Amino acid sequence: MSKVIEINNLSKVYDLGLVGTGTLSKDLNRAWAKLLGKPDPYATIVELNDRTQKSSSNMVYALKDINFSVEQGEVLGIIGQNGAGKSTLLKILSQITSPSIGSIKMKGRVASLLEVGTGMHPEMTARQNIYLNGSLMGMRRHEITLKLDEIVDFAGIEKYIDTPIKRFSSGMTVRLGFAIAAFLEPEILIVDEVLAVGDAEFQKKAVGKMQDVSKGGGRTVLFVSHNMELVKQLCQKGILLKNGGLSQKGLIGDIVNSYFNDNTNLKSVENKYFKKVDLIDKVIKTGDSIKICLSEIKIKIDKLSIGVVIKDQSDKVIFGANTVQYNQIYENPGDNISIELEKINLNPGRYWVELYLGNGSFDDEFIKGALFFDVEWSQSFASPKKHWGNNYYKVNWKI
Amino acid sequence: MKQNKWDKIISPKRSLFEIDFKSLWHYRDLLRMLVFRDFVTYYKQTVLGPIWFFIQPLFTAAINLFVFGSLAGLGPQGVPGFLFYMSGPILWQYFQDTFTKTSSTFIDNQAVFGKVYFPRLIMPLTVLISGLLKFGVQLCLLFSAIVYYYFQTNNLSIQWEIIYFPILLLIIMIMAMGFGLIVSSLTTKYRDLKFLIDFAVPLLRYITPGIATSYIVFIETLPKQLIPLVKYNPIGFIIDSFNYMFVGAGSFNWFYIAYSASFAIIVFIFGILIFNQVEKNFMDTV
Repeated sequence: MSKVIEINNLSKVYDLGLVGTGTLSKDLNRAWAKLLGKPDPYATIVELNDRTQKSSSNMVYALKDINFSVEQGEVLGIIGQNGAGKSTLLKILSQITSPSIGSIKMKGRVASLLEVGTGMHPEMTARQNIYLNGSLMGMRRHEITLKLDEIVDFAGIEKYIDTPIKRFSSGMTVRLGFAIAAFLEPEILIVDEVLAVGDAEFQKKAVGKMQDVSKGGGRTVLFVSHNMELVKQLCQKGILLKNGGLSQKGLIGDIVNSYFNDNTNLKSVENKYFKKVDLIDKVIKTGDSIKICLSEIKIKIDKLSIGVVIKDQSDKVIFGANTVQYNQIYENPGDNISIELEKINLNPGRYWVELYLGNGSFDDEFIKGALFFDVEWSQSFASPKKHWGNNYYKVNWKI
Repeated sequence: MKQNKWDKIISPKRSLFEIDFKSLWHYRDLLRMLVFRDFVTYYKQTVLGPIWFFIQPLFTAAINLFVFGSLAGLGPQGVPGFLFYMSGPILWQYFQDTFTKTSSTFIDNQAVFGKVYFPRLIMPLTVLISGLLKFGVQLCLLFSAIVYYYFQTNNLSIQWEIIYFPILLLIIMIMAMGFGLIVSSLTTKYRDLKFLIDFAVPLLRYITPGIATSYIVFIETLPKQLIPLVKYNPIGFIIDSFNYMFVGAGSFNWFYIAYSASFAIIVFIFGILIFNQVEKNFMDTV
């Protein structure tokens, strides 16, 4: 295995506010430094990109001191919240903009798929657009001719090859655009969130193609997405960006977990109705029960309805129940309320609890991203070596 | 040892003269496809289609003949006015189209430039060559008109100096592109320039010899204060020489052509350098 991408001390500085409204001396100073090939003299007073805080300096790091390398054949997932610097990193990697400090070294042809069907012209036919879009991504004409049949086949548009693409549905256009990029066969493929479009069948096809590309061809793929399931499915390794810095790199499972943990800022769980909301046991064993306690009621209420939802790490609902569903309601609730969920048959992992409080006809208080519990294997039964999915069922193999 | 194995190194620095001709050459198929696109889609869904290529110069010639020739009495001596008022404007129109279209390179292609990398110079080159095709078609029209007048008056207006026409064309090409590149690089920051260009360039034709009347007549008729403006107008010499070659009304002077050529080369080199500097970071400012 050899390194195909090496990123050293990469930083990108953006000037907030209007461009060119700085003082003339500042502009000149910068121009002079640029002329001498020195880094921007004003880049030193920059601060990290934290969206939530008002910045005192008007320069900001979109990326700061990024260091990592990618091996050949690796599928690397790049994840992070909005504004973490993912797009900036991709833009620099695909040479759309240049870094302020640091360097990137790459081996082989790089193709970036930040958008599908870039530069396609609606008046031109699918065939003409394949040539146009392909050459836009650096393919030579004869290479496209060789791949033409495969591209058309993959996109599933044989019938419409000589139809202007303005007559295409948007899905067809996307399929065509992805097909061109997929058969471009670059050594390094950079893919932004482009698979979000298109129908389920095509997404499956596209993901399969990307896996083939990395496994069969020994090509490297950098993949950015907010769809953690997809990222986990596609990538072996990942990096997590946070406020422009590289917060973690490693196996994709760990990265995705810390992404979800970052996502939930654990504020003190206080709400309109109760002063304290808590889980009794934060770590349970498979098969145990959990108990949610709401205590120290703040206002007097006649009727209270409660909904409980359990979600897994990727924000998928795996259980939900509410009082209305059971034809129940708390009339004149007391100071303390406890809810017990019995026999939690879940595989090990972290799970989140959400609560919905209301007056019986509608919910007006949501407690989200605050309560979680970890499940571990119980000693009382033989735990499997590996597990898939969230639910645990005891299996009798009858061998 | 490991260092020289890398194919591509992306770093903030780029020296002034570092122009990536290698990748420009690699993307030549893209240039071809883009020119093809321009040509195929330009008159799509029009009734007259490519006939528009001919309508423009014919109508321009007719109106110029009426305004400058009949109303102002500036028409050329001894040659058909219609020919004269067709040749100059054709070349001028090529210059103007190339200049104005090139100057909006970054703004027009913002969407594409923001999504995919290719040598940005491809776009202005596309404008240059697409325009050349249109110019070529219109030149054929001019030739037909010349042949028509030859049978009418038995007098061929073409001069032997026409063999130097490629030189003139090259000068006007690099001058238009050079100006366009400079303006396009500046418009990423200062959009005002675009407005200035859009209205000022078409006006410029009135102080360019060879369109309303020939260079010599122009100098004679002009108020004294305005003479320098016309005298050192580098495009004027080219158009005047062009008129002389094709229509026989104008002047042909190697000294003036050399002046225009050096002007064009300087503008062109300057344009390429500034464009090359702007292209790598323009996405952040545009």
